[in-house]
Amino acid sequence: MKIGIPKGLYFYYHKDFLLEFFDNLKLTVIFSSDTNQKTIAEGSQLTPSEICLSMKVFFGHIKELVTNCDYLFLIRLVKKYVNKRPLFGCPKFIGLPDLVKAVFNNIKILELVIDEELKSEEESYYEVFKKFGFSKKEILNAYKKAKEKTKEKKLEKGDILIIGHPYILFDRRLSLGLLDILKTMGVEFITSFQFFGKDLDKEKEVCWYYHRHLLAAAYWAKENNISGIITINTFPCGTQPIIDERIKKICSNINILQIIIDEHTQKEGFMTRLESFLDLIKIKKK
Amino acid sequence: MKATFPYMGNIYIPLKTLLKELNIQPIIPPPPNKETLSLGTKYSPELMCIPFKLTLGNLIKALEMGADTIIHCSGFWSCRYGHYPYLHADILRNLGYKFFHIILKKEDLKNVYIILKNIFKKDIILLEKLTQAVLKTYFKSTVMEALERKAMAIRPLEKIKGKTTKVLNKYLKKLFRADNIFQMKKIKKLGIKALESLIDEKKRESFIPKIKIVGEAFCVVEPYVNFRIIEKLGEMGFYADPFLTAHSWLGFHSIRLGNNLYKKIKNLAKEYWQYNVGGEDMNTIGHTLLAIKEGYSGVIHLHPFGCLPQTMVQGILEKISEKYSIPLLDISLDEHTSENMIENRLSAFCEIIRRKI
Repeated sequence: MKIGIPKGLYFYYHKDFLLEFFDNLKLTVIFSSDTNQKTIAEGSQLTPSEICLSMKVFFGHIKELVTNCDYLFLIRLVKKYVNKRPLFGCPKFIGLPDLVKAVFNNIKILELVIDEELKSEEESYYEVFKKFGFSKKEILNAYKKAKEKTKEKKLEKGDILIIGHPYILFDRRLSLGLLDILKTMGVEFITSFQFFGKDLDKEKEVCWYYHRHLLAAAYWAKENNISGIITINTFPCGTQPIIDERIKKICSNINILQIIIDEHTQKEGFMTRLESFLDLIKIKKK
Repeated sequence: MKATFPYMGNIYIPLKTLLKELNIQPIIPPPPNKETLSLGTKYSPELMCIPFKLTLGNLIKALEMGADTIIHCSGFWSCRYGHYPYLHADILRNLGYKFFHIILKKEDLKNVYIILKNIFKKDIILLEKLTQAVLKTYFKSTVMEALERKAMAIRPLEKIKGKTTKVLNKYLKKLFRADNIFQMKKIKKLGIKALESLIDEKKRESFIPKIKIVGEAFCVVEPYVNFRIIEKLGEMGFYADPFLTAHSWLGFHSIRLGNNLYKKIKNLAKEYWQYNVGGEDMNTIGHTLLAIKEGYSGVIHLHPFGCLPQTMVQGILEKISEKYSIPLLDISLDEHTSENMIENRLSAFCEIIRRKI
């Protein structure tokens, strides 16, 4: 029996944890291949035209997996309490499994619903995987082990902060290889993903679980006097204007480059903007 | 205290009474127009939805008219609407406007009570005034609903094209000025009589196809954004039935009016949509399914460009329309949508429905 995990959206958030968890339970997992032109084209065909590019790509990944796997693993994060504050998933993430069911007929889905108003996260995992014959203890143990192993993260240091969801940053096609380009240019940078899981008390308004670490990164940048921030998003991300507006407010005296990527974004224009931004930072430093 | 609130459709008619009864002077900005839209678009982030931009433009206008308090409703939920009050306030303060901001939220209604107590000083007087205000507002809102619904039913039957809308607007204006229940009752009686006199007797027996209008609340209720789609369909000879009106929006979000219908809708939509995220997503799917059950001839889905829940719903509605073979017109609205485009699409859609019947 094979469980398919599409390489998009929350996969990038919980990658280490999920790999560890499935390994502990000795379940075989298959992934879709990295995003390419075919994924984008197929995904765009299946989905409504106004949905964001990351979602379209996600559907392309599912299409690739559907024929190969027995079950498709999807996470639906509805509500989660962090430090007693209720946090929600992005509305599109909450509706995603419903849309998958509507688009692909006769597909077996392992749907993990995290709604902590009803039950805790561990119990949701138990609810989903008990049908494979595991006892409650086994599943909870696997969960705990995986959580502990992926807990520690080292804070790196860098001069430029890149704020973006990991499903864009670490996807070479979607981010147009932004991280690789910066590496070859010899720029020292850090990504916002290393702040994932750290909660901040300062932020009271934004209540999206997957977006709070972006603001944590922005607060960190303000405290450490970073010389530049690059934000990267896919078009049309609904939460982007709110988050970017907050980032601008928090880091009012730091240079910010906003990049929004859609199906037609070309690498040349993207490179020009990036290079001029880096030049600007260099000049300012002198 | 001179207070204003985000402008949406006709909700200003009952809300004016509510504020006035509570000794607050209501400031009603002019109805949305090109100027307010361009003002709102200029100052808001690019990818925000059109309700945000239009209400921002209206708030600016109201502040220029002398309002010193803005009343918003908000909450903690997944749709980005929950952030709008803060973002509106940020943008307006950056522009140099000074105002007092009241956010109506389930979690801190206590603060609102304290503000009201400052006006009336004594609890007993406040409670008395508050019940009176709510009752009057509710009655005014029901009169508005009765007139609007009547006009929707009569428009496809009218003798002279466009007359119904004119008469309706006349009586809504009268209703806006009315302050006591006796006047409102009179307006209701006269208004309905006047509307009924417009019916063309020859058309009375003819079959009128019904079209359901679903989608995001602001886009359905505000006629400026949807280019008066309800009136247009009515004048083309269709009965356009929006799932939400100003009255039902106000009623549901204040005193849970129509909660039973919502429960029914939730049950219907369960197969396709499991969690209510915001932006009337559950209602959109449920009312579409209900319309199919009730024998409607078509469904029109109105939503702002980039709305988070409605873009997901869009994909599901497509599947439902395929499954039940009901014509579906999906209109995405933003500041660049042109009236001609909507008219062309509407007439093509109506043609499909006529041929299907």
